[in-house]
Amino acid sequence: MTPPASMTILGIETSCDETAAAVLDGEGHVLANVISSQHTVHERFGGVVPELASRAHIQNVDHVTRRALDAAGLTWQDLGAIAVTQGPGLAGALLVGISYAKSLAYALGIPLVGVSHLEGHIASAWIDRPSFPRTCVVLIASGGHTHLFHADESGGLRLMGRTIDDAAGEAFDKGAQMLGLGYPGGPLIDQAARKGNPVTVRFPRSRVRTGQLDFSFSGLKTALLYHLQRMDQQAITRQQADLAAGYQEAIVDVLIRQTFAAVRQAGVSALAVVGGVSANSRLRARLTERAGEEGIELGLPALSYCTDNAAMIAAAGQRALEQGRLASFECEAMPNCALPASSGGGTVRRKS
Amino acid sequence: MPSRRPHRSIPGPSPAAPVGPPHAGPPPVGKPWRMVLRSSQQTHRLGRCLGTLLQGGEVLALFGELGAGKTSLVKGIADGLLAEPTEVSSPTFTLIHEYQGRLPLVHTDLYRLTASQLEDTGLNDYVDGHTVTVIEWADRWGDGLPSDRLDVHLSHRPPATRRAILTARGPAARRLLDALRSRLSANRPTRAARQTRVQLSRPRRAPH
Repeated sequence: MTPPASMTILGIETSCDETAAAVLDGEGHVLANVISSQHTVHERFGGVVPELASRAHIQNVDHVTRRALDAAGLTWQDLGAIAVTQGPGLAGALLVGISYAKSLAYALGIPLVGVSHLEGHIASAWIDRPSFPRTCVVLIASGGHTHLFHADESGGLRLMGRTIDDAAGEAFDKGAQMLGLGYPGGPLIDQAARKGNPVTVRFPRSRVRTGQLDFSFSGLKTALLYHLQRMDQQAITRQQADLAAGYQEAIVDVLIRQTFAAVRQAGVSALAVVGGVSANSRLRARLTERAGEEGIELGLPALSYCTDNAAMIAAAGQRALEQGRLASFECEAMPNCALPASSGGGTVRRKS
Repeated sequence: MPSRRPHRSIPGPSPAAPVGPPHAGPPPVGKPWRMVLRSSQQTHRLGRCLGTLLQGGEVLALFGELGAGKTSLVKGIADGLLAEPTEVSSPTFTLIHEYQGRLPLVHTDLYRLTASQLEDTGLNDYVDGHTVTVIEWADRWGDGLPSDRLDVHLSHRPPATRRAILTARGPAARRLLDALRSRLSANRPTRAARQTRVQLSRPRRAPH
């Protein structure tokens, strides 16, 4: 099967706790973007239970896909290709989306392409701005990842830096937990920090000796823990906003420092920042300010494309098809893969 | 930085059961092993050494606060156990993480769960004679917890070191702990390797 260069594509995403389907037309415009959250299924556990996530995906995936088709005003026969998340994510959850996508592609006789969830996040920067330069530095910051890539014109990605311990989103979640703000941490710290002063309490900014562009957030987490141990509960409650603001500022500072160092090192004039953490208002404001000062073109996806969604998977699928990548019906879930799923998968390795 | 003051637990959502090391369960087999970990590299190295010694079916129960080094230890275990370098993250959000390698590895965090909720998670199905199961806050499991297991307690020792206490609770765990001891005492780390990889910039005094 040789896919035409542009066609209507269905994206399916089931890597974690959102069942999502989206349809993009041949020019990359989003015709429908449906997300069904499993929040109520996992709420009482305080975290995502893999087995329950898989079951909920099985119940929802067909329904969500039909809703996306309806919203796009299309029928099955209008679809030209299907893109599905192959990993990283929960093994069972991924398998649901992949099995569903395979059967659809087989029944409709259309091409199937497996993409990495990270490729999806990266592609989200171009959904609303197709003219954004392809050659750029990309920061992916989410609950599971904090990675810097150098993207080239042909869509190739070179890893420049990554976190050596916690992801930025994890730092937000754990900080919020320690501050008694609850879950999910990112939006709650963002909210609390707006009422606080970011310089009242200053937390350390970690540097990683071995990799100049790597990130480290576990030292910051420990610094907050020790700081809170010296305070009584009343003082913590009273200073909650300042603590949240100071903690957030430390994360944002480290992200900005490393990201702009990568931009300088790569010698590019465009920067895309994607993933759940890119929804943080302080990060967005600081990035916009700094990019303006340095004359760097900044690509930030719309808030609806920052968190997990299938529009980004469809967009990444379109790119993969342009590169001639196709998945066979033997393709499997790759729970721990990074980039890209169909080119052998495996983990990200640093190129020197 | 604070001097060595008595440890106080951090605020936050209160867990389902009292926080603390489990004193219930089978008695220790042999003496616990205490050690001081001076950097996250040392924690990682302890994990990697454990990982290379695992033979399948072992249960490791980890205890310790946020930042005590649990994830660093599991990263080390994965390094020693899995064929390919794999990104291991904390199962704080997704409660059970699975990895494939020389042996299958399951990493889970039970902090927020009660014993009755645990049944619904299907965690039981993961524990078999082949899979290595690493459980954070294993005491939440109550009576269902495998009795032959290695308990690892990690705690903060301000300013920057961690203490680890390894307790074998069963014959298989004892064999693992003995093997670990002889392996680790055979190759003590060099001074250079003990140096911390992550340098924290000194925080400026906050204006009051």
